[in-house]
Amino acid sequence: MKFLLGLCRKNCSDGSKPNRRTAYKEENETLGEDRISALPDPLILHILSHLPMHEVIRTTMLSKRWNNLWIYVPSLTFTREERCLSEEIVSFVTKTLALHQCLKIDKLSVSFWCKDVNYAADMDIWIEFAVKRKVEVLDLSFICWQRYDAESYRLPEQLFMCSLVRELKLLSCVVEPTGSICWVSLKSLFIDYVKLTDSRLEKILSGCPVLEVLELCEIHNLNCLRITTPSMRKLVLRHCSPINYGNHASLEIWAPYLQSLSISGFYHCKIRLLNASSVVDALLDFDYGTREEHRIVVWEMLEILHSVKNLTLGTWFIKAFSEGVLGLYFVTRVNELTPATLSPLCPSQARILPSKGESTLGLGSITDGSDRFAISIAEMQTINTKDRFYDRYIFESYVLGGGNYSTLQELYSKCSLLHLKEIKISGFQGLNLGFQLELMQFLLKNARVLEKMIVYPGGGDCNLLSQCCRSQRLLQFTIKLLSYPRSSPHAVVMVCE
Amino acid sequence: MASAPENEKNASAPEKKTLTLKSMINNEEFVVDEHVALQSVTIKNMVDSDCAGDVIPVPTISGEILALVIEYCKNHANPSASEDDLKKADAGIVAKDIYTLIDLVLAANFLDIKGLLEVTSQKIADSIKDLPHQDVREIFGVENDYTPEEEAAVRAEHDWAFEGFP
Repeated sequence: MKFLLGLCRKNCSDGSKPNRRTAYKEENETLGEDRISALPDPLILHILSHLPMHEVIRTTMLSKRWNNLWIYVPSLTFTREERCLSEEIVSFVTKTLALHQCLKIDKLSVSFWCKDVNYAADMDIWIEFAVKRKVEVLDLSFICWQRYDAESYRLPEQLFMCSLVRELKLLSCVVEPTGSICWVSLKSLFIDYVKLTDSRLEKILSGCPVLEVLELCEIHNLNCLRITTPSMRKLVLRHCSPINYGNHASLEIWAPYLQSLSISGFYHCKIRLLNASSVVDALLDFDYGTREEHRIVVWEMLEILHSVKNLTLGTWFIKAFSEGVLGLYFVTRVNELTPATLSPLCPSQARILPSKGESTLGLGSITDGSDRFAISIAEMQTINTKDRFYDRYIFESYVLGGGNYSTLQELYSKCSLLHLKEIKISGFQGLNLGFQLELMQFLLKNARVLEKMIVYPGGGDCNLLSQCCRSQRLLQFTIKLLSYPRSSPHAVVMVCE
Repeated sequence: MASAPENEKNASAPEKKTLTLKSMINNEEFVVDEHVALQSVTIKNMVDSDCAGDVIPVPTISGEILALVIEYCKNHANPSASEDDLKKADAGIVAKDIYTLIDLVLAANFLDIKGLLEVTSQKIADSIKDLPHQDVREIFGVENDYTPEEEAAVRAEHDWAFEGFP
């Protein structure tokens, strides 16, 4: 049918007008009416704002209705695949911005790999465009790794005076304002691979009176991070270990207003939280290597984070909890402290970021102190999700502690799931995989005070099945799940679509 | 199990205010908790300015679409829902055919529900993404009203957007 219609269009394209009309009428009856072209302009422009600019411009080919609509799109995103030449991208961006007609733009985002050539002149034009059109979200991801510092692109002075920008992302450029900074509307600032000293960062922050979120990535010259802006609620640090590390090097954080703290990456130095008294959400996914002294520092950190409610720990922590000094320390602490002072390790919700081959003992230690626990089967897979069989192998080797199922049972019975009240399971790879059911069967059998197990079986091949087939599978799955014996008399099992 | 939470709700908050939304297309009515409905800025403005009667008529939105909108608002009015839960629920709501999505985008725009407008727009944009314009025409039933000469001219005018890129 489609093939015939295609032929029809070809025949008509060179023919007379009335013929073409009828052909399209026929086609439209098959395809349904053209509802998208009937949308009002602002809605079409809003939809187009979610596409990268080269795709937006190509919609001009659809029909006359779409011709040159792109010049009014309020949100411009330029992303190119790596195989595109950087000079092509640069001239594409410059040309597009020159033709663009919107007087007020919401967003300008340019990310590309800039190879050896210096494109400062073009970049200046883009920033001038953004500032003049009163941009609110500006993402300048110019990736030029080989030119750290001296030869990097130097941000023009006018950007520092851009008082309307709400969100700003800067990557591998020089941030050295000669005058003052006036980012009075800035709520979110992301700085990646920029040379920043303590004092320079302090100067930047002093120009952002309403900043809420600060994300720093690959900033290697910081030793003391003082965050005194009362509006700041979230700090994210990734790979911010100082370069000149010695035995006494440390990264100190003083942030009394912060509510959310996330630290990840590899650190050579001690991280000291001098003040983090308001933090309720913490993600600690960094790697300290094998130094024993660092393991102790972690204890200080967990004690400082005493008011934290949601704690997420990375694999280094799992390892550290299950072996060596920290593990011992943990066990003695748990034994000698009363539940009230145990709070750093008894957050109301603990989540583990698993990876391949890590011991599950640490996981047991965490669940031991916590009454809620979320397992995402999808998160237990590594980055390579293309090969499902491979995933399954990873999953099994992870959950089963790198060994077999009985190892898991042994470990869990040792740690016992004594306090576990709520389990959420999501990220399925299909409903019929035995290892998923086995895990649930095991948890139901061993969690003695369990109140709720919530299972979200969507995902994986479930999405590929037809509605009817899916319901049938889901029913079988649910029946099976409900048939498993539960050691907790109050346990409710819920299967949510 | 299903009846327990409802009883609880009735017992603990009997004074909870509700609004009735009525689709003017097929006269279907929906009784919704006020805080759920107020996620629509349009409805909020009506309520704030005392323009809302017992039944709020919703023109141009069918009952089927209104039900989806209310589902979205209910999910997002639930304070205990985690970000992940919401993402999953949103994905379920927009997993619809293209015509339902266009109805949804219109409804979100009319009722002024920012989050719903975002997820539906994103979903429609995703269905355009990476496709040649001929395929986009076919999916949305867009009629090509360019003559071949015009089409070639438009293509030439925008050649910088086609150059060197897949």
